[in-house]
Amino acid sequence: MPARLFHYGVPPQRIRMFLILFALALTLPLLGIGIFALSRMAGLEQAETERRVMQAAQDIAADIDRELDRATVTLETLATSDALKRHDFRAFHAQAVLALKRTKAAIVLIDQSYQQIIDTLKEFGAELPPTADPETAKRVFASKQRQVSDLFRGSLSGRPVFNVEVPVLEGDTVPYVLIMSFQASHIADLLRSVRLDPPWITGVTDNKGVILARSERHEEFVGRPLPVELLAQSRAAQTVFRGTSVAGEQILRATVRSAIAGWLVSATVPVWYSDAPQRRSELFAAVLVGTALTLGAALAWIFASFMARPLTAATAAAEAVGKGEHVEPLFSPLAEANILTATLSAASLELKRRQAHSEFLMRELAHRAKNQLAVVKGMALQTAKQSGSVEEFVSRFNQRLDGLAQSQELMLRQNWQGAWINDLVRAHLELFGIRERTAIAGPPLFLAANAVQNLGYALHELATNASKHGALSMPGGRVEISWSGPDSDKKICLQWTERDGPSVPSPLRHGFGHLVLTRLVAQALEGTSQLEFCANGVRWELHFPSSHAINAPVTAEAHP
Amino acid sequence: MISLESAQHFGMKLWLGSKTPGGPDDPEQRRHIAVADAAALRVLIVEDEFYIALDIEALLAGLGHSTVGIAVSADQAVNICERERPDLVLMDIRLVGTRDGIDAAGEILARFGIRSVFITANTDPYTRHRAAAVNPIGFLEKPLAVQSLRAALNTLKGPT
Repeated sequence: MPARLFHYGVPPQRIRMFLILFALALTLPLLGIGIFALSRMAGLEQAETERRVMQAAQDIAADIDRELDRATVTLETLATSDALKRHDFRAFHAQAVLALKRTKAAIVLIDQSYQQIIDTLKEFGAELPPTADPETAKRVFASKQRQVSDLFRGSLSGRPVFNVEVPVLEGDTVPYVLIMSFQASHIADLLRSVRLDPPWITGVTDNKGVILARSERHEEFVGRPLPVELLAQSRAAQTVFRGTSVAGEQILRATVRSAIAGWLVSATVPVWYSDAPQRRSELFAAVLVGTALTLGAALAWIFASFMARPLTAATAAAEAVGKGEHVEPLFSPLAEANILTATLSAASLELKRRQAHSEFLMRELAHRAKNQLAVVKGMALQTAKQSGSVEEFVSRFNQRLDGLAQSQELMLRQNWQGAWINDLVRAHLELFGIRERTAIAGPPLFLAANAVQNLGYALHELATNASKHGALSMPGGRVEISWSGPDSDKKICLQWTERDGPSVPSPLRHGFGHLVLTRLVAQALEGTSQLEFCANGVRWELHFPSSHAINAPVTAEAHP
Repeated sequence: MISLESAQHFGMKLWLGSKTPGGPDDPEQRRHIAVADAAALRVLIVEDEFYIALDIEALLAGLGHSTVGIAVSADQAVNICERERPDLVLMDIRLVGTRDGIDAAGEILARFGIRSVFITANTDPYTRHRAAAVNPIGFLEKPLAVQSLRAALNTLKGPT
């Protein structure tokens, strides 16, 4: 879980930071792919360059071999000429000159003492020195095979030259060696004739490690030995390799041996040239990374501010709600923040409403508490007035308080709006444990609080009297309590009728109970009451306006 | 202290006073005037809880004043005032019916020039503000203490 990170001391970050990280998460894999593709392309280009270097070396080696072959063919043809067989050197000289017509070479014939007999560079009969390269001739005499020399200085020209030498056979002996002597620049011309891009350099190094020809600055380098390290690398090379050229340049080089001469034929490109694709791809990658990161971060920053500002506002709204202030809904580009602040706004209103309601409830509670204390005070006073002793007072007062508590309890259950008349009657009868012998009948009526309290007082006085002195004080006595709904006068009528009670005079004939039942309750309910003393018990009737009944209490429980 | 006979007689007599108006020539009233600390007042109690009303009635009697009646609603209060013309009204603010005590006090003041003392358990400032508009003699808190009742009645008697 990423959330766990924050257990390790990473401080909480703004959403801006997460969006930037998100942008990086999206960008970095793409960048990775881009860089990989670039480097792969650069690698392919590099491989292609290496392949071309190798190809160039091979092509040039083949060209050189072809040139040497052509010389060999010319020489071998001349070697079999009749003039030579006849030792007619004058005629042979003329023949050789003819054969060379198109070639900037010289043809030389030497005998076994390496003395030049003819040299096409000189007129026939001119005095000639011995060959400057007897070693190759020696090999020809020995091998009776064609041989190609390394670079040496020509005995006549003094210029760097090389020879292609073939034996002149007379039976099994080799009396003469026929030589075609080329200037090294001939090979350089050949190298230059191959069209390559300017930085390319081709070159030929002979078997001794001396530079024989070079496509660039030939005259400067010809005859110079190849650097030892480069020579060793070239001789050992199977593939393209890196090294330092004779000119001191870092190069990529391929070397192929000439099949005929054994020379090292090389093609090189400067490392700066061969590495150009790599560097280009690195540059591209750097630009790509830089652009992507800058652009990504900038866009993330912009979009973050779309989100961050509304979120900051929503956070401030939440704080304001916490302080109990009112919050206005936000209209921002971020839908979630709008919903959040709208909810917070609604919550702040609701909080305010609840606070107002709770203040109202507190005032209401204070009002009721004080009012009830005043009621209790009055109740105590009235009870005291009718009590002959402290014991009697305590007993009566307790009962009245219990009765008051019953009415309160019922109203409390109905959110202090009132109570069902049925519940009220039952509650006051149950207080005396006299439910069994009572018959209760009447339509469901929900009485307002004032009526509940006052009717409760009356029911309390009646129930007290009935259980102590009336119908319920002896076995067989019964009480019928009935009420009717509003009549045509909009009056509710409640009747308390005791039956089969004792015929003794009721204490209700005088005293406070009498006052309650005849005057106080009726007066408080703006109604009328009638108390009768029949032979078998008390009969009480109360008429009061139906305005004391609420037909549909707001939060009343359904009446059973 | 608890005298059954006198207490019952006392309460009933005063209650019945609402039905049979007791003037200064009523012998019962005269007896109370004798123990009062100043001139006796004829008072209307407007209170829908009879236990409270009876308590106030007893307090008034103890101070030597007479009760001309107990009303439980605004309309009833106005009717009794019209008939009895009391010196002042002790007015509960919350009453049975649609009109409250402030409403009734306003009408009584306007029609009969009789001022009220509000006796209420209601301490909410808005109600107090409304009540102040009908020029009450004062406000008394429930449960009613005899000292504060005496003080309120003395302010009325003082200037006259």
